[in-house]
Amino acid sequence: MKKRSLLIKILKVVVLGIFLVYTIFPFYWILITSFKSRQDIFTMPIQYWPKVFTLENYREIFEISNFGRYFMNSLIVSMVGAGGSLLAGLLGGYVLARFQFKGKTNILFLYLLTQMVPGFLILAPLYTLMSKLNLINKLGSLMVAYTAMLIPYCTISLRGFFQRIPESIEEAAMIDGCSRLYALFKVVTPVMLPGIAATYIFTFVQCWNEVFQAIMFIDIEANKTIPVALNSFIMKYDINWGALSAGTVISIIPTIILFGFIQKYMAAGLTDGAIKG
Amino acid sequence: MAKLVLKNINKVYPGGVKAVIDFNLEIEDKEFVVLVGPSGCGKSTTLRMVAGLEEISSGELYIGDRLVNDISPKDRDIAMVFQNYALYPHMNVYDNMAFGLKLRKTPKAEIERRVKEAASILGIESLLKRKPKALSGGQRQRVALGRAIVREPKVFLMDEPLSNLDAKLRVQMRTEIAKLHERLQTTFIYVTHDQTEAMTMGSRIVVMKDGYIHQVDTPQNIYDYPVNTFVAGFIGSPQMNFIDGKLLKENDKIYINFNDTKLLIPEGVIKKIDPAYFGREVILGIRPEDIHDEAAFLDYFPEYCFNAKVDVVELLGSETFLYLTSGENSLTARVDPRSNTRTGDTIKIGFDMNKLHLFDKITTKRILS
Repeated sequence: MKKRSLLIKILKVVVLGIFLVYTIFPFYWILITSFKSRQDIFTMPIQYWPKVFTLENYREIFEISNFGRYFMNSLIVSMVGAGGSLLAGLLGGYVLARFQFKGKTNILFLYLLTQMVPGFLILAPLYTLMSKLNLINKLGSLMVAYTAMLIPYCTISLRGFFQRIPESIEEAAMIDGCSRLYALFKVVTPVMLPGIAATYIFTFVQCWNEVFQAIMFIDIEANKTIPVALNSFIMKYDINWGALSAGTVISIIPTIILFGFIQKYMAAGLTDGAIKG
Repeated sequence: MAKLVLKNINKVYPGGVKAVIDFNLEIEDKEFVVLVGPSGCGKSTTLRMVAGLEEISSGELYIGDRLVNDISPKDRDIAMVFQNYALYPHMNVYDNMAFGLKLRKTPKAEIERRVKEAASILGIESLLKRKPKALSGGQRQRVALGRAIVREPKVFLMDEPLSNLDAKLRVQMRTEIAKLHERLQTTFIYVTHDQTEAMTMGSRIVVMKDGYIHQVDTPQNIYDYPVNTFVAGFIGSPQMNFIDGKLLKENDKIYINFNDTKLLIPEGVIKKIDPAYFGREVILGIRPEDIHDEAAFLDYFPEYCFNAKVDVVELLGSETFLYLTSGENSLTARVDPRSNTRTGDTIKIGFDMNKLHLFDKITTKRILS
């Protein structure tokens, strides 16, 4: 019996180990590739640990291809896109969670429906729209498009978080002296921080990684975002693996920082101690 | 401190469900009124309408002399304690209690004085820095009470505040809330489905069912003179025994007849019965403590006695419950704990006919004036 449980334990470790390597290896490979020289990247046999570490790729993306600018563009677009959709989702989700009104189910259904439409399908009409709004080649096009694209997700996700928070907390706040809106921001929102953080991260990453609309709407160097810039390292007859890897490494830094900041909220329960536990 | 008037209050939900129907009640200043009834009777809805958390479909609600139908909860000068405490989880106990005062721009020193005073009344001074998640159920309930006390509102509303506590704590908090009312001298409206809480705490009880008020009176009057079989059965534990019977007039005497039993109704009770009921079917109600098995009673009132079979004997220490069968009727009797009755015995029992309740068979209303 003891032998068997030990065997199961070993098996678990082995399976999880394989899974871990499978997940981590691409990151590891990108990271070390970004520190390899152009020759070392293509050297045979494959170098799993570079003989010489070089910052040449990083210098290239910042000095030659203006990566700092792309980084800032991505940051601005993602923060505004995620922030805007979060704010709209917060109010929309609250209404859908707390009020009963005609057509509520239909609205929810429509929101879900928008999530089923592939992004490619709306690229052409969106381009026409942006063109008419005179937003082509401006970061505003991406801000508007990303906000609109993510509002349904934010609304549905935050509605779920609102439903998990007992209504009596905000009722208590309203009796204590808050208006409904003040109770929402003063009492419910702080309680919901983990949910808000999770939703914000998800939407931020969606904006950060979005490539099709960015390529479609932005065609001038100054307003390119990171995915567009990374895409430009893939050329017709050549792929600049070193620069691509360095760019990728830089591009995942904000996501890592975000998770670092917000993980304590993610781990904490939503309403510990608010009600009978 | 304020008088409350609820005039023809109705609550109809979208879809036509009527939760509260024509609710009329005047609550005097400093009164402790308990709304009691089974689940879905409309008691919580009524309380929430007083709080302003639920819209009033029709009718008028006055707090003091002010019509408050369209006044928001924050401007009604009320405080409410919720069943699930509803503490703000991200604030510590002090901030939870001070929140309402801060919103009202009360000076800091005054906030501190009031919070500390409330904390000392409730014995939670040592918990002020803790977050709600670090408190036990009883402590959380005290904080919820404290949050209401510091506001010094005109009216205290309590929505089943003890339901989530364990039995021992519930009894303790029951007396504490009663003491609190004495001390604060403020109007309390308390909602519960527990008739013991209603009986022990309220200066008046409002018994509700299906959205209607059935009876409003003092606990003693509700217990002694229930207006119908619902109130009679709901208030009192174990509940009142009901037996279908017929009033018979024989040789100028009135008897109640059920199964093969015929019990004499005393003169004093007969006077209270409308003679139109003589010869008609009625419902007889008798409280468990008014069923006797002591020899002294049985010897003194042989005309009130009959035989019954003992199904179960429940010894509770201070009292004993006998579950009996007589013909088709099941009865519960509360007797002396020293009774040596055994399960399976057939014993003689007697009804204290002076404590008899009689109800109309069709309307279920009380027929004793």
